[in-house]
Amino acid sequence: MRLGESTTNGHHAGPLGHTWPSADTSRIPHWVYTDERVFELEQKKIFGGPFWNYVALSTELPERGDFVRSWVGNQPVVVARTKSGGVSVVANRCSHRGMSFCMEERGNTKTFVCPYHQWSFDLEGRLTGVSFKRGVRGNGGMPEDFKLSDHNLTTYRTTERNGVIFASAAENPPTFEESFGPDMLHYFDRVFDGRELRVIGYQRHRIPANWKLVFENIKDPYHASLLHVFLVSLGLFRADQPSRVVMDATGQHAALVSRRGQQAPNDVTAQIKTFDERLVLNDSTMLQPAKEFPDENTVVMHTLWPNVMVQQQTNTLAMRHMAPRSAGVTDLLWTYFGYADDDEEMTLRRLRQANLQGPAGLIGVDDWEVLAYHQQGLASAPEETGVVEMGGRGVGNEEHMVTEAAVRAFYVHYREVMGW
Amino acid sequence: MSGDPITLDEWWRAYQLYTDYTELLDTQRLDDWIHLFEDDCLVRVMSAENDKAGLPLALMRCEGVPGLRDRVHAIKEVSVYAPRTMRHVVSGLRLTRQGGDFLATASFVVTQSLEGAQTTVFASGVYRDRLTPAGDRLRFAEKVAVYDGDLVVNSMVYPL
Repeated sequence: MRLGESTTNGHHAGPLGHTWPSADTSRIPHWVYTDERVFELEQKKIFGGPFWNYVALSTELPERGDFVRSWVGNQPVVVARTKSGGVSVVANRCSHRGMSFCMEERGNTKTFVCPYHQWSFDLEGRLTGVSFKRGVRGNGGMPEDFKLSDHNLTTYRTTERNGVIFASAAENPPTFEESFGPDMLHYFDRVFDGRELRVIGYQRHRIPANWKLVFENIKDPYHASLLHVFLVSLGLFRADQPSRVVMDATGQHAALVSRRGQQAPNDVTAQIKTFDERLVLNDSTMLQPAKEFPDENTVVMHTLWPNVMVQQQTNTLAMRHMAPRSAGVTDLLWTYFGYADDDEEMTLRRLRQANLQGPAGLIGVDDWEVLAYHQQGLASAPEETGVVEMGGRGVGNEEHMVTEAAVRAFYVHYREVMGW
Repeated sequence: MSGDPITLDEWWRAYQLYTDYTELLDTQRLDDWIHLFEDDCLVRVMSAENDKAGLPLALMRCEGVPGLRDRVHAIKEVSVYAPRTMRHVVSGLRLTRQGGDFLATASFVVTQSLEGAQTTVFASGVYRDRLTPAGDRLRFAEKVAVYDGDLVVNSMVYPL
């Protein structure tokens, strides 16, 4: 099957009685964003499917026994550095009564112990002990045929590439490399080139919008060149600059790639004046760039199906990890990082430039506010459809940013996975 | 003298600074609000999560009055957001001396009211500030607002 052709006929009802309103993906029905049943089905087919969900950076778990809580879709998980030095991902849900046993965001431990009835598990999720298993002074206890090994925690398959940890609920997911393909691996390895990473901080916010809107926001360069006055006026990302939209063969992953025009590293002030005199930074240190990647691209926004965006905006590097909570609510968890060999000047540069994005970002605020009102509009008319025709109806790579091709390509893959 | 107890007059001047701060911020008189800061101030809004872990990333970071002007300009002219009213409640102001300056701590609660919607608690936390004398008033030489809850309610338009 070629990308852009759908295996489903737009006129036959698919799962949940929904019918996609067009043969191609130039139309997107509002109900994909608003129907809680769709959300539940996505949890099974997408976040619980044969795909690799981002869960943590390896540098967050330097020592054996280190753990950090995370999310695979709406499922709470714990990521741990095991005794052997490997990585495990287990559901944060006790196999006894279902309690989310891990009550701390991060820490170090030898075993996971559920505080409710003290069932204990090793860091790979194997049940190793049950209190009162043999009863108390002849009273109670588990039945004779109770076997610890029947009650391990739900575990996830894990994979790690250059310091980034992914998990999959599927038994036999394709390899990470198969899932991402050479073009996407190129952009992935550009940031994650094997150097040790160093986390410089977290930002978290709850966005009252569907997770796909959060994802599409980074697949849609059309809006960026219009909505974000800051970005446009300062020349950080503009429709007239050299740019590309690149996808993998399936359309599930994408990278928006852009270059500042007339780039003059270490002298951003002159550029700002050239681009737009109406908006001049009083504090020009905020956006002073330093070239740190082999190519000339200054922005690469990389969306990795199904749950993470890797941001490189000048010198800010961040994982934007989505934890969808319901059809209309998404938690966006940001992990900003640099490299272990960054000097103080580079770290300061990353901290300053972080003003652009995030929950309080000079650009970011525009997005979160728009997404909230986008969701409100969609919820008021779930039967209507959105129009996604900028740049035509195709789903191929583009050498400009006046296009919604990556959104269309995303929905080709989405329809395939979901069955519409 | 750094060991001298804080006088009522000193405490009162600090209290006035916080009253000016919250009033100017909540009434969106942001150009006047900037006058409460020293030229080379550092103003940050940080999560308790990063603060406790010793991670340097802020949610907002303004270096000096120029940095504050950029943030204020974005709020007033550039950013796209739904109109809202913020309300700061500051309590428990405590001063200690540091050289000729004062270290100030205080708790804050900030509510947010979007037009046509209920008032919600937007943030709570603690200020850890350094105040410096400027004539007969005090100004912020450094301001750190450390907010308690990890999850910000969608977007933070105004500083805490």
